[in-house]
Amino acid sequence: MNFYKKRVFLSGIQSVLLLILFSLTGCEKVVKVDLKTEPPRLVIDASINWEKGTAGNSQVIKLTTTTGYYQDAIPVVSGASVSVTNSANMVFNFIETPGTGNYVCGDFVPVVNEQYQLKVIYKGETYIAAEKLIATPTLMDVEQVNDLGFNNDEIGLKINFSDAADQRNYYLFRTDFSANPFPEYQVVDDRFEDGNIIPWFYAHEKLVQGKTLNFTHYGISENYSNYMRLLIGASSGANNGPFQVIPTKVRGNIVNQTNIQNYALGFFRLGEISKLQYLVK
Amino acid sequence: MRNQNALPLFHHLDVSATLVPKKSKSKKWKGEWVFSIYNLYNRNNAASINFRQNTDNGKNESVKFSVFGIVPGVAYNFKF
Repeated sequence: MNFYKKRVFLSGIQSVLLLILFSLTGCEKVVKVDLKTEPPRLVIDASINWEKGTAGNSQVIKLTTTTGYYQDAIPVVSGASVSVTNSANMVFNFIETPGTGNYVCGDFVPVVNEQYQLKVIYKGETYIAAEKLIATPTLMDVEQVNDLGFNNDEIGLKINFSDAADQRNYYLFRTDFSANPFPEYQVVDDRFEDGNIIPWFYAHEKLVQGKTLNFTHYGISENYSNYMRLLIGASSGANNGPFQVIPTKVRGNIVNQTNIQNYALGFFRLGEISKLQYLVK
Repeated sequence: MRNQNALPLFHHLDVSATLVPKKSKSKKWKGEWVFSIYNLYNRNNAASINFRQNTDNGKNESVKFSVFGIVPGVAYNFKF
């Protein structure tokens, strides 16, 4: 009996010591680091989305600049001249809603496989880019399973679309979920699944019955696919594991014709999009 | 700007004291106790700083990871 008591006492001390030891080691803390900020660089967000079943006449191009890492407000760019030209030399002018950095066009004519050219003139420098408008297959349906994860209680979704056969296609997939402060993106190509029904996979620990998800599906060019792949990797920071991605700038297809050194960030792309809203069962 | 930055200054104070017990003739070895404290003022030195987007509010943040705070230690050395 006496011996038993002694053992309990010792193991109590031991566990307290162990607890102290663990509380003393390893600590993560959010800190502000004194970072150097580069001079602002123009960022051209020229993503022309033609939602299937709509006219696609109303389009927006957004101009901003880069800013400090901790800055919440992204500076917008006013006073630029923005236009898009199609292969028949038809010019679509994008006019700024004053003070917003949003350049709006109300009479855009989207045509699948048509070649377009973007032209932005800002501070006397001309930026150009050329892309084709890419077709997008419709998101067909969603399959739900409820037995994922270690405890077989996590929800997973498969969102299917039908790939066009005998051609290389690239796709981008965006998921908006209210538990996430920002959308999540995935990129895939049909190299191994040409002409098949291809699923996107989505799972999130906060996914429960009654939540609504908004999916957007983009047919994209090979260049934009490469760009997005790099951008998704670069922007994941340290969230992908213990090792930080090396900070880098991912450059798009926009070229400064006046001064090639003063390049702009961002991409000019055009495509159909297919949207699907899903209520988790 | 690549490779132009270093982690913040790193410093810690360690102390130790050695206790040599009086010789006892029955023992065949000479022993001593060392009591030490590593990082006395419990400074969270940065082992790494990572940059990430906060998954709750979407804001950019930097995270300092430090390995050891204050660590007490006891050692026993002996010669025979």
